[in-house]
Amino acid sequence: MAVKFSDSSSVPVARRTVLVLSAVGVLGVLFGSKISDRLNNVFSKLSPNNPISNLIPGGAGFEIYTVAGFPIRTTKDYKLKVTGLVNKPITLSYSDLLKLPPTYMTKDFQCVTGWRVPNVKWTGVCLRDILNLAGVKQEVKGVLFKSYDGVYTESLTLNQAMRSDVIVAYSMLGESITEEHGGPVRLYVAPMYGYKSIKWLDSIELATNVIPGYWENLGYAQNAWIGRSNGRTDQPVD
Amino acid sequence: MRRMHGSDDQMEEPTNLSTEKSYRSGDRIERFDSAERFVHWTTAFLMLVCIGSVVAIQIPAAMVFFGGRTGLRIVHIISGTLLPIPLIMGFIGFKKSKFLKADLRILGRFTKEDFRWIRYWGNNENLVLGKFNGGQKANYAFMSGAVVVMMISGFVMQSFTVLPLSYRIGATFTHKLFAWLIVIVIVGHIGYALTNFDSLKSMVTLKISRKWAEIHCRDWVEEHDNAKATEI
Repeated sequence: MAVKFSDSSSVPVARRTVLVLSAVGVLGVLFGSKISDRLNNVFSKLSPNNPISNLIPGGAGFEIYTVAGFPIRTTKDYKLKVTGLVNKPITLSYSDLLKLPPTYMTKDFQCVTGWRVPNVKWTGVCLRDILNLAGVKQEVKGVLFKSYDGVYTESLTLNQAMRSDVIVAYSMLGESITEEHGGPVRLYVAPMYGYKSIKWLDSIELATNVIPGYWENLGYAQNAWIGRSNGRTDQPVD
Repeated sequence: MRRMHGSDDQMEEPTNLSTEKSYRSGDRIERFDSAERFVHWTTAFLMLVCIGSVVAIQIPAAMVFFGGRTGLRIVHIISGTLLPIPLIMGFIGFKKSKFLKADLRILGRFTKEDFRWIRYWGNNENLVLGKFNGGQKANYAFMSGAVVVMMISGFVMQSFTVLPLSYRIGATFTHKLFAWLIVIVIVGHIGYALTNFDSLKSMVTLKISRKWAEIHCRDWVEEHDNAKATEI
């Protein structure tokens, strides 16, 4: 029996598959965000935060982002500096933070790239209390945050920084903040997209103007209200 | 795989028994050449590194063990970008390769028999069984295309500073979706390799046992034997 390995009736399936999948890849890049956002809405309602949800495409889990690796600082050698236009520059250790009146929140974490983790438990010190400890000078308009990764920065207007749902967090997801989530101490700005919630918080500097942070310099919105900025229409975090 | 030896009554032509004996006596048949072996195992290695580095990123303890996300990310990007290189090298670097180009041509094209193979997933006694079956060809076609998808989406994920945010979200979604499809196909591929140990061994020794080949590539063996017979 003659075996037709390459007769004229054969179909170049591999070539066609490559062409079709290339098109699928391009379409996925162009329009995949629509599917991704929709799935994320479903997942963030259905599934509690679990370790596998960030493996599912569109699953509602944390994606771990960093722009400069994972700087390590233990709770023992952690220091938070509050400087700039303050009456009295202060430095708070990790245990100093724990002694301040805590704020507890259970709120969603919404990333500007579309994923949302529902009902994250947060514990920390209200940023307002820390700023008041140092004493905010009259002319202050902006607050700059720096990470000890040496690269990442973020900023808020003074009015935003004084909100009660902006905290210097030392606990999230019911435990001490892990290194990958920005521990031991990070910021959590509840009403804004995740890039505002700077990880590995090193210093807070008060100034007369708002200095754009890392992502603002790359085109992200300064006033990063969830659902009202960056061309997105996500459900605001209440 | 699970199919039985086809009935012999299809062989109508009388064969020269002594010649048949002489070529049948060899119990192993040349299946691959060293260029193919090189392409296969370097691609497999790169794929392992590519998948391993991204798995390590998902496991905090592993991430710390390998020195953090930044390094693993670079390893992932480099190994992924290099994935097609062994095959390209196979084309330009191994001019003397005996089988590579011919085998890729077989792998790349489906005959009617290959579509039938897919329909029955090999479980049909009347299938024509060439050097590669429809499943192997589908694996080759999908993986080739999937690597292109990963390249496109992976590139966009890197270019977040110049492209709109929604493209990056779409790219992340596409990259994750195809990552899972690729993992599923690779698990299947390795599963079939382990349950067809002779075949796996031939990817190392380049020769396939006649026993295995006569079950799974009957018509290729026949063609091979006929060619050998005419040589003699």
